[in-house]
Amino acid sequence: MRLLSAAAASALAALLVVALAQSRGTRTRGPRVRSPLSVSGGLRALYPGARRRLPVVVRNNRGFRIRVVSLNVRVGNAKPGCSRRYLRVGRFHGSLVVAPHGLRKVRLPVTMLRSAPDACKRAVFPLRFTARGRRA
Amino acid sequence: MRLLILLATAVVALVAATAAGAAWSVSRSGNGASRSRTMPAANGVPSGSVSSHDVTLTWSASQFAGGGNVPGYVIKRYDALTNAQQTVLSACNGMVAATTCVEHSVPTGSWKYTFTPAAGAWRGTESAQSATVLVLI
Repeated sequence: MRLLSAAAASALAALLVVALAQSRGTRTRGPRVRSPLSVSGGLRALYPGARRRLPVVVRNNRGFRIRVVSLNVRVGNAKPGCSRRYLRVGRFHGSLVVAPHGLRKVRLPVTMLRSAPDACKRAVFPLRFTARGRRA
Repeated sequence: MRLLILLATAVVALVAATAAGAAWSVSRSGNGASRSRTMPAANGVPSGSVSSHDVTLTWSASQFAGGGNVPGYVIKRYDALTNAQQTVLSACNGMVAATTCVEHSVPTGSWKYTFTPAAGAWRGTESAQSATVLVLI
């Protein structure tokens, strides 16, 4: 009886750990599970004073519709002398529903400041996208 | 035993609730990049024509590598005899967005002009000097 109780408790504990890990998005070393959303985007042809639209592609990797509730872009420093403050990316406003296994493109406003120095010539600003969504 | 079953039920309920919450809210990060250009050299030399003390300058558009005209130009005026740089007057001073401008009230003398592609604080290579422009009394 004691053995049975111990086994049940162990199984429940293991279940709990797995569920918590999944809910927090913790990466576990096992078979890699594709994230429900993929976000990518990029832009060329920037210069001081240029106003462009940054195309951002949001891909739904699940078999149900996902509503994107937030989409953020973090700009990184390009290189010494050309910090991220010279590039401004606007926020995503509105609602975006992505079909099952589909993709949607949004365009965010991008401005390179007129004060961008020579160090920003031929520079590459790394971008990091973060999207949050829920089942639509 | 009853206590154990009760505990197990509570844990299973907690796990189910956590898993359900995870299924309804997802987040994901991705990467990308924005690349900037560099400035081109000036395309050709400016040409000038005089009408009284107004000098009309025209030049060819300069393009970025990969296409697209540069957004502006900076005009410079030099004394044709001493090569000393002069102060450019309205309306060719500052950054000129077009490929032509008229400098008004230019003093009497002989002058040469250049143009430099510009975008914000960036400058391209300055053009060669124009032919001498004579402004008479």
